[in-house]
Amino acid sequence: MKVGLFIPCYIDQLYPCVGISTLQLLEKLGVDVEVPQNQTCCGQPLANSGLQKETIGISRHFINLFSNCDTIVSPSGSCVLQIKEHVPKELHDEKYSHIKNNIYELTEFITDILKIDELDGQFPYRVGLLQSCHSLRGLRNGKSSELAGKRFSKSGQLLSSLKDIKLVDLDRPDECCGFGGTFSVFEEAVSVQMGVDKIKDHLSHDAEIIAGTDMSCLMHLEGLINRNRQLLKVMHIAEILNTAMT
Amino acid sequence: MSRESILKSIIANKPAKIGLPKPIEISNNEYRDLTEKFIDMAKSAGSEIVEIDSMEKVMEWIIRQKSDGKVVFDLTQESVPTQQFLSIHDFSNSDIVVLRGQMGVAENGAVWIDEHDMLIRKLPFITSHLVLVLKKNKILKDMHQVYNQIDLKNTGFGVFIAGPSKTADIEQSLVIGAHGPIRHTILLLS
Amino acid sequence: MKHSQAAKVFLKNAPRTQWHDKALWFAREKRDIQKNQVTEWETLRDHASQIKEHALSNLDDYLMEFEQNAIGNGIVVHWASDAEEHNRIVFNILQKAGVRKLVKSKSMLTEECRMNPYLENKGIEVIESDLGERIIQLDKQEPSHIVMPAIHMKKEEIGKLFEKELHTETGNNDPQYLTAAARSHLRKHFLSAEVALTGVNFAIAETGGFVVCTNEGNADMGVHHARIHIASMGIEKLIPKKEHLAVFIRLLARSATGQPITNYTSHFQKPEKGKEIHIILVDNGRSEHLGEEKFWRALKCIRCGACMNTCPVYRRSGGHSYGYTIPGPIGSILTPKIDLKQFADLPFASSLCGSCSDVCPVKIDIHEQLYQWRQEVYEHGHLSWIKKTGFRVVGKILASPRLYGLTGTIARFFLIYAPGFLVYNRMNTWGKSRDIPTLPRQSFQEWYKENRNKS
Ligand code: SF4
Repeated sequence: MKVGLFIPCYIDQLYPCVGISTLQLLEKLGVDVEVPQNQTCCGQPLANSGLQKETIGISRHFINLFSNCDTIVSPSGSCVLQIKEHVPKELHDEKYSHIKNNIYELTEFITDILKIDELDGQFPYRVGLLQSCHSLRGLRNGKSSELAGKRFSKSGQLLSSLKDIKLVDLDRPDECCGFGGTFSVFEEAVSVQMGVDKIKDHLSHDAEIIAGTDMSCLMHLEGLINRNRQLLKVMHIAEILNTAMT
Repeated sequence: MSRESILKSIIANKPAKIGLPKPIEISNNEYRDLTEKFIDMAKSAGSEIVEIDSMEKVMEWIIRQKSDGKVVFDLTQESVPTQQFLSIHDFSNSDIVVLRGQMGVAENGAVWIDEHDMLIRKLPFITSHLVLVLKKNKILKDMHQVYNQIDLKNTGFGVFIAGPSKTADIEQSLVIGAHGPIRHTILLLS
Repeated sequence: MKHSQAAKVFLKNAPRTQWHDKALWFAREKRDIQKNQVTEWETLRDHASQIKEHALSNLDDYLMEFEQNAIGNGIVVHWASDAEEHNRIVFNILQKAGVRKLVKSKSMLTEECRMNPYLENKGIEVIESDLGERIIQLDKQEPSHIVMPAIHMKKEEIGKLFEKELHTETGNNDPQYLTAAARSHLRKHFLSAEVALTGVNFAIAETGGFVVCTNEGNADMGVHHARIHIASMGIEKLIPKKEHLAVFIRLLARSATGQPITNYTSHFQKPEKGKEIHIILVDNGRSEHLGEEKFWRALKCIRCGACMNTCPVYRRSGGHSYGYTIPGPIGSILTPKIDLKQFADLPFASSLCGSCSDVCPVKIDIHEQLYQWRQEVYEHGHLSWIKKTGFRVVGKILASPRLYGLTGTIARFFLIYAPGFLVYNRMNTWGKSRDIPTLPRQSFQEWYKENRNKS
């Protein structure tokens, strides 16, 4: 199986360590990872702002780059959702449907494709899980609290399998953190308040780390934590799993 | 005419026909005991429940409640002698109104009554204390079952009542007795 | 005022925002408890959605069936193409009856039609009888929520208002006391009501009747005392059969207020002896909305308000920030259809978290419609900031690895052009309350070339 790794632009530019952790983690799990060169972006920042039309170039580039991979993995639920749902119609061909059907967010790739539910690692911290809305309600990598039936979470499952980790219960486990792409600047006041509340929820349950499936959400929360000098750290789930497994 | 233009516009715009789903399948043995569930739900809606074993005792119970107020009965459907009818103008002063409940709904504690159970439609709403007499064997599991039994075409007005009237419009704090009855009693007849 | 600005003003009062957020979250929690007690909850939602889609795709037939059966029941049926016609019909009924007062229960449709000011202009006294609506009316405000119209007001404010309007004791803010005062104040109006108006929660084609749900009993108090009952109804409220009521009644109150059923679920079939029932079937843009391929499903809405209670933006910005009768997520997908330019910012008043779609009892894809409306806003040229920024350029750069790589110290490129930071650079919006990430020495791609490139 040829697995292509997609590292979204903001991880590439701002959080390369998350990209490296993802790569190393996958290799530890025995995956032969290929990183197609010259990757850029999934197009979501434009699409979510109403400019889906303008993402044809970006999407075409993406499709060309990844179409010969059997499977594509990315440490971002949000970007995966963009590729699955909002690639312009003009590009809907066989190549695209292959990608659409074979692209996975990192934790769902581990649980659903590698069929690994438990990892051999240790992480002795109190962790709050922030499953991004796009991963949770978009990709359905978990059951949101609005729906009836038994709760589950693929990323939560992996985290809880680590030794000594304590996953804290939050008051509002899947309330949005307030990032929302351009929402974070167009609706700055509300976005900031949502982030502040999210952090408060974690602090009030003595979390030491916010673990996220999307670095963009974490960037927003980290910005607030640093500005307000709060005692809390954000980590992408790839970093946690990769650290835990050494 | 607006009628024609609205219909024309709908025909021009409506989406392609979508079929109806098959009737919903509901498990029948969800609650251990229908009466128990009904009592639970009715109480949490603010109803008082009195279990009683005969129609005579119902009368006794009502007379005991009567205090100084006036009582209006309409249990005609139960062929109980009508005790005391007041002229329509006096209804607003009646303290207790006693009516027959047709069916109870276990899942939500509501009782269905229709026009045949009330002298006039305002009766169950204007009183400060509504008493519904409901036979235990008339408790059904859920709304699907109840609607199967209700014959809307044969009535002018029917209503599910679940507890005394209430509101939470001020800071979401629950207040009993908004406009309708302040007290709501169900006499469960075995 | 744009939503983001109104939200900013709302958020200035931090304790109040927190209180507002908690009050609505409380409603969401109550709803969750209810849905957990219904084993077939998700099946019900599926059914409700399908029934509505079926009804809407056959709306003309069902309207005619309803009309025929309603007339058979002795109900007078009126048709109104728009708000003005609706209001005129109501006024004509009042005039013909020689009545100058209308006692009404809550109806979002009459708000939409701006009926109260219309009637008041013609000298009609309009009395809102739902407690929340009455509070709003006395205070000359607009409702901020479709189920809890006065949810934005604190009891102290209501106490003051009642002191002035209903002469209650000074400083007594006890909800129990205030409700009792409203009760006796409104009772006079009920007892003297000659014409009463209600909304319609569901109308049933098969039976020619309709259902009105309230907790206070105010709808019933009004119409059963009055000689004439006017029911105003959007044409999308129609469902085919009696048995379908079970599905919707089970969902409505649980979603709205976390009750298993409203206190009163009243079924009106025929007028009481010697009385009249008039029903007004209102289009006001709905039939045209049906033709919007991406957006017609918004018409499935049963106005439960759950999407407001769950919306993290609504809870932190208040209903008035949306500038329309129906606020929150559903409002933000209804308003662009009314006036895309005026409401161009509302589809953007969302983080697209999708909570609304998951909570919606009729499974409207609200957040996807928000996304689609954003596309419409752009395509119709209503994105005002787009001209001022290099946003389109971003698309070109990201489409070209050469340009992407060319931007040299790429991180800088990112800070200048990447969307989140676009506005930051111009107006420092991002950085007002948040730090920017520390810039790494090299990008992932640079690291990979250095450490892994096998070629
Ligand atoms: S859109 Fe759905 S959740 Fe929102 S008010 Fe309508 S029915 Fe309720």
